[in-house]
Amino acid sequence: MTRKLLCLLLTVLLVLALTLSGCDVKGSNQTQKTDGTQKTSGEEKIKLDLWNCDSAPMYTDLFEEILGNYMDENPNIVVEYTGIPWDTSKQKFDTSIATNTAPDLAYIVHSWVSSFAGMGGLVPLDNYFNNWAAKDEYDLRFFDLDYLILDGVRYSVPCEMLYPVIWYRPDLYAEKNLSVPQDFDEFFANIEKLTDKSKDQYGFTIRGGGGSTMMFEAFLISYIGADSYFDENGQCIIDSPEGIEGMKRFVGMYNKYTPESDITNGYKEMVAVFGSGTAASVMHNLTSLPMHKENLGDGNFSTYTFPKAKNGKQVVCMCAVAGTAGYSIFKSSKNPDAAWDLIDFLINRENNYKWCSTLGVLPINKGVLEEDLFTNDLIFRNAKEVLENENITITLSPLYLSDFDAIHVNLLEPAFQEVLTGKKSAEEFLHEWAEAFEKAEQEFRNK
Amino acid sequence: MTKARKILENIFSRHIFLLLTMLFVFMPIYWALVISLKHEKDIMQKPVKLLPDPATWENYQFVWNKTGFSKYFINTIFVSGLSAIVIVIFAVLVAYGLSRFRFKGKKSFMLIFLATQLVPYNMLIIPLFLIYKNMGIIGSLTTLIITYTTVLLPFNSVLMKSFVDGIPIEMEEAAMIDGCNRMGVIFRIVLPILVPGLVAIGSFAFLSSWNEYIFPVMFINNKENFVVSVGLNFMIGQNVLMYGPLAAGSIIALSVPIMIFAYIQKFLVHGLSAGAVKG
Amino acid sequence: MFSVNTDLRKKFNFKKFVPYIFLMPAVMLIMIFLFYPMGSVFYYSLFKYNLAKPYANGFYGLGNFIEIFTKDKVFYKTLWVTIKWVLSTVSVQLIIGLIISNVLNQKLKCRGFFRAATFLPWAVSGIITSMLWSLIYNEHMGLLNTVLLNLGIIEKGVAWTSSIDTIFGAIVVAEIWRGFPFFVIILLASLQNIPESIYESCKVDGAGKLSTFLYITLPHLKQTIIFGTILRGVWEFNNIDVIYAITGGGPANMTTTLSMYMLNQGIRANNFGYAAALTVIVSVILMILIYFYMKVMGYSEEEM
Repeated sequence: MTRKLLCLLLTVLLVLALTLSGCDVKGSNQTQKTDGTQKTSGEEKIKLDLWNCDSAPMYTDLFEEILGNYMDENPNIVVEYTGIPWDTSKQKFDTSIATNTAPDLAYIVHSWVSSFAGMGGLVPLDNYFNNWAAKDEYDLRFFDLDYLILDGVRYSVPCEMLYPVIWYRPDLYAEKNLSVPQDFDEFFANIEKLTDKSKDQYGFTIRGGGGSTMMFEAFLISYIGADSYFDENGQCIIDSPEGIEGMKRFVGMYNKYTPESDITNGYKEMVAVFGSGTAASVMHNLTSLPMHKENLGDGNFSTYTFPKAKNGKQVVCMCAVAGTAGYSIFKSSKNPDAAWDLIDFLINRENNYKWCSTLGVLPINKGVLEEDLFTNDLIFRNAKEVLENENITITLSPLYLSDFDAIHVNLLEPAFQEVLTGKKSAEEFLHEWAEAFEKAEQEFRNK
Repeated sequence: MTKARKILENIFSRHIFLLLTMLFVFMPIYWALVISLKHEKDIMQKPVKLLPDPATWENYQFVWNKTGFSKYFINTIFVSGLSAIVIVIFAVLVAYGLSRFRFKGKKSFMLIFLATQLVPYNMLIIPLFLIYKNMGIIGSLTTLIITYTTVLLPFNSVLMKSFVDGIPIEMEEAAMIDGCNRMGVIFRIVLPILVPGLVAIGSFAFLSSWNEYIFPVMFINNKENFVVSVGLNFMIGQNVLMYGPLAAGSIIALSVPIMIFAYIQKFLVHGLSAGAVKG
Repeated sequence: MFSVNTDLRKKFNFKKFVPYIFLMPAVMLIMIFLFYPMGSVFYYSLFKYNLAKPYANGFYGLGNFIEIFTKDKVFYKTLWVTIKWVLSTVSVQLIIGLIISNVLNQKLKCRGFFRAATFLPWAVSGIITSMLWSLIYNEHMGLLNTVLLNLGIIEKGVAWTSSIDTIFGAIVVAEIWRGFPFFVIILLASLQNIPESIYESCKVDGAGKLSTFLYITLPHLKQTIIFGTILRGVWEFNNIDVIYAITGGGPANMTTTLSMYMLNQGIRANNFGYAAALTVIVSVILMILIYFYMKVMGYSEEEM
């Protein structure tokens, strides 16, 4: 009995040992050397890991092409691209930074920069940037944003630029003899005229679910006509009288000129409402271009920017969901120099053009704006005009606040829904918001 | 009861419930099938069409070829299969130990098992990640096998115990009187009768591993090693949601579990009744 | 123990350890890969640990817990939502499971097909389920509204996932779709253990179908029901993918359960210490509830 028992034990332990020692058939790619190189057919190559915070298939082809060209030009470098599913993307990046297994570089959403930098996960890019030969080709306004340079240290460079727009159906507008609004009164009046509840037709659709307040900021700031979130005394201008008025009018549209289900609509539902023809306009940024193309077909939709506020200023607000996105290099990288070289390649004129035209974003490389796309295509032409319009003020959302995400997710998004259902007043909501931002700003300044 | 009344009772008691259940079960699956066969632009169209018209295979082609689904399929079969085998081995050990012996600490053992279910797994990711990293196996499919085994063992062991309970002790006692030792009894008497139970538990374990999502996403970085559930989530981007390929991928992902379930459902019932031989 | 061999005295000590040897591998696995991580999370609950604000981190003692119990209104709201959620989903799943398993236990044509079909929702992964149901419930292009409109039952599309009246029911139905096969499986397996002879003698004694069910079948199933409801209850407590994809926890935290709140804190708000404290509270609540539940129901693990 003892012998057979021991035999059984040994078998079990063997199975354990086999599994523990990582003996598996498929996973052999993970045996990369810890110095960031990969031995391929006898020569040492530099291996770079590039992650994308979004795994959508439209990025895969793009990256494959661009990276393939890079590897042809640089035969001693191997770049491996991995797309991370969006819904667990932030958690995956957080985990990788916390466990020192982050990639060499990654394409990330810029609202994450302050928290990644706070964790100590990013490599400062100042040296690279200051010695960058190609610097002048780029629109440097978007490199010096306050959420990319924290405590005087630069942590990320943008590769694209977005701002909020209103997507609308010119055909539906034309039916009612309406044109692009020149001020906010006309904006609201148009929406009212486009609504016919009996036909399940609405003038607008509100994003009430995930990301609601991050998008709503854009409307509010444009309505107030503010060029900064905080005035000279550090007070947040969101709960100013204009802000309260703007919010009341916006929220007043809910369930009157917008569908009832808006209150829990996240991004995909919102796009579906517009794409199915139920709503005549929707507020978002240029990246939903591919979806609108699929749903409505080319030429059946267009864009306009928010009109002038009462104080005469036309403001475009770059917020968390409609701002810049770009590349960062992570501390755990063994080849930061090579990573920077790759970034330089990824945002050069040729590749930036491919990037922008496929994804529907605005380029960071000034030369790209000369391409035909920006004169021939309606949507891109509109976008270029806004970029080059001297009279439009670009206001930045305070993404550098480390509590930015927390405030929106925990406090503002649920409260926004309460305002939509009438359980909370607009004043109360905006006061809470202003207080939260002011507190975070204080903390940031006094760090 | 009159015959007419009996027939009526039959129809109402069994078939209505069955019909309702079948409708309830199949409705979402039918809808996934319809969406997977529609062109992407037709999916959002109003008025909603209940049948795809025109129908297209492009979603299936897209998801199989362009997103590496074929590779993920193989990975998932490998991981789930190996996990199922390991789980069955461990479960038999635990089940036999719990069923045939009376010893101190049995109750606390059960409590340990229950305690494993109390924490949502999302919170355990970082500590687990560090353990695997220190073992040097992070990024390989082995991490998944270990995690699945640990996580699925409690439930499956308890279920296995009920199978083992159904095998009468008298058979083992008789064998031991005839000179067989404990190990011999296990291998020659218990296991052969337990085969249906082993198959049932193995299939449960396989299925649970098949659908796991959070662990593969967090522990695997190399896209060669991704599994089917991760591949499906590729369709859900920050700004783009591809319903057609997502539905097509789901139908493909469903195929293996369906086949398994069709196979085990008779074992599941058979397994327990096989052990219930009295006297 | 089987006292078969009488000359076991020299092996007496060894024999005592045999059961532990059987259980050792499983225990080791669980200790290393579950208990140690759980311990680490419990450890962090005593710290102020915000991943993005390292300057503010440090030992906080019971500070997180005090904050949760005194300053956090959302905590109590989510606790209430979670209790509602667990009670409604588990009870309905149990009832449906009881009925269906009894039906499937009887002799039917194509019984195998029906059984396989009933198990189907359990084979579908969580993300797909939630995606599918959110599509079905969509106000404008959802299957449910389309069918109801075509049948003339409603006149205008209902906003299932936004209207305060329907939202909770909507997510409960989606979760029940996914969960009832679990009960069908374990109850069906248990039903096999009830010998035909008992049913025969009941019939002879003239007992009706309902009384047979209540006085014979149910008691036999009692242990399985308790076991199943505990397991399922804990699982529903912790599992959020259906709610997350369909309503995102809204509107206004109406459908946010404790687990979802915990994840929001830990991941989106980077407040890991706070989330760890919530985890500890969740585990303690669950342990207490399970203990009392088992005591009240007279659960004996001998008969499991």
